[in-house]
Amino acid sequence: MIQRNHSDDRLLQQYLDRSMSPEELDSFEARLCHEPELAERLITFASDDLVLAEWGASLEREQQQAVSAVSTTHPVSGQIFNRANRTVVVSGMASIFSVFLLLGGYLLFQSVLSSPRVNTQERVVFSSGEPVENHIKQTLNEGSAELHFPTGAKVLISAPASYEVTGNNSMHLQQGSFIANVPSSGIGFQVDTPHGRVIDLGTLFSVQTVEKLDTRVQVYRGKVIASLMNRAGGVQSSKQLSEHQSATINSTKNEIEEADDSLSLAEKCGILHLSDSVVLQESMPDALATGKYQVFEHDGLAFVFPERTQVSLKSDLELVTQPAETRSKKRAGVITAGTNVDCYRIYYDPAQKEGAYIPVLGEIHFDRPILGVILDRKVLTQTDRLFHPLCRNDSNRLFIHQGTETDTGGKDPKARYDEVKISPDRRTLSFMLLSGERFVDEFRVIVRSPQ
Amino acid sequence: MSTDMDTQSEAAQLLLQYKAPLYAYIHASVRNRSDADDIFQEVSVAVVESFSKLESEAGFFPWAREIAFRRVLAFYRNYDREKPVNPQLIAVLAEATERVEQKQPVSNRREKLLECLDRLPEVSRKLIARCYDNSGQSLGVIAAQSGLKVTAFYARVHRIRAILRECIAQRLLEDSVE
Repeated sequence: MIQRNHSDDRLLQQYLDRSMSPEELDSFEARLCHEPELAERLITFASDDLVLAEWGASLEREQQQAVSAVSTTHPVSGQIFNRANRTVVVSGMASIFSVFLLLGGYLLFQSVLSSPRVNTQERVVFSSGEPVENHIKQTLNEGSAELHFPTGAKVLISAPASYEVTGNNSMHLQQGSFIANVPSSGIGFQVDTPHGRVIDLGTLFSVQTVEKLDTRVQVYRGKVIASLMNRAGGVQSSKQLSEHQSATINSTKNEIEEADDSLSLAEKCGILHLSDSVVLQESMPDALATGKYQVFEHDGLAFVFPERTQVSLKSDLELVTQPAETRSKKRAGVITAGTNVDCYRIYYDPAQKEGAYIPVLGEIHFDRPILGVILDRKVLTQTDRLFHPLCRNDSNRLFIHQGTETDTGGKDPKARYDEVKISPDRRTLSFMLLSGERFVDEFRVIVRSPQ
Repeated sequence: MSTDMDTQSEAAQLLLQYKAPLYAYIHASVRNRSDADDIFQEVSVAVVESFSKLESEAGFFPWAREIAFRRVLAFYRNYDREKPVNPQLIAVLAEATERVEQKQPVSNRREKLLECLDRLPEVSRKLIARCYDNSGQSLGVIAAQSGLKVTAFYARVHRIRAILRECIAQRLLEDSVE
């Protein structure tokens, strides 16, 4: 028979849950200092809490995977819905969604029964679920590929690239670039390149390798350790990189160089300041540029991509110049022909919560006047020939856009999911985008080109 | 101890191996998962950076635990907290963590806990999952969403946790008898 003091159990849990009164707290902490067995039980309780938290998170992931796995068999799957049709879609999906939930619950129940492991996948898979064999060289000639590691790390690789998975939390990038999102469960995620090694410490970072040149590492969130490797495969020197820092591992010069950090990159792009919720990327990945989406999925984090610069307008361009206004006449404006403009795409695609809408609040301060924004999906498509990077060589290419839900013309203010504002001095763009797992928000910002 | 070759990889692997007891100690000390995440990350950086100073891999856990102890104290020093922390308490918890890890590695308990979760009735499992679903919501908020009075909700969650602990203890006992 196992004897336990249930009263102490309750106190221990209340202590961890921070639900004690100040008097109870003082008294209990005094007991912890003088009763070693009680302190040990607190550690055990805290350890159980960690396991339960990981288990809870894994159940959530399983539910999402089960629902999305089932939904891929449905004809409407794979599409990103226009939120204008959400009401119809939601009501149409309601009945089958309940079936998904039941089936998802069943799959979850089965998988929980069959395995006591926290991780739902034991090997690295592509985002499609297809497994990736370890130590097999993969070549990506076009588009992008997203790898999901069992530790929770997600890596989006852009073509052209050559890489191989070397373990459950490691990979080798011979050539190409990727952006990695590594949660705390994936701390220690390791990337080897021909020039060095990057060890992640829970972060969002990117790696770009040119096989015969160098490896560039850029950190957006958290920390990584970048190392220069010697010919014997040992670590020669290391550098810790924090948020907004970047470095180049140069094996020819035999050093890790401080590279232009992302703020300098921002300055090159005419951006003086970005709020913490906005990440600037030098170029748009093909998957996103071609409208496939489902990449760069991050809750509460928006991306900004420079699309094209020094575009000389051959005719007047109609767009939204006063996005905070509700009346369409007041919102609309024109940039006159002959003006040189730069174009940026703002992109937000949350991933975690099926059925939930997750906001992101962002601010971007430009060093030049913001002439206007393009928020509507149709106008985005119409202006692709001017601004889309892939239309540079073929202006007739067509791409699907999602746009935002700010421009309802004031007819139905309740339908305004998103908010975009330009400051009175027209240098600061601020936005609140509300989106969900199956939706994307995106819009263009048009800024006057430097003289 | 190893040369510089793969030193960082070794450090990262050992960190993963001892993540559970280190994190449990930090969590018990600060009682907030978000703060615990931040401190654990700081500890990870410090461990990887100074791993070459470690003389023996066998001493990894006490060494990393000492780093965690200092980071927890720094955490309380750096922030204007409502109540100053008692350094003795943080030290006592650090010692307790080492004793717990020596007596029974946290990884064993973890395995049993996952087995016991499987044996829970589905209603209980759903309720406990809701409490730990990473939403960051307090139990009070979850109780309100579940349509239960807070006291009733707490009582139910407490009962499930107690069942889980009994189950873990029973299974660990069975293992030791075998």
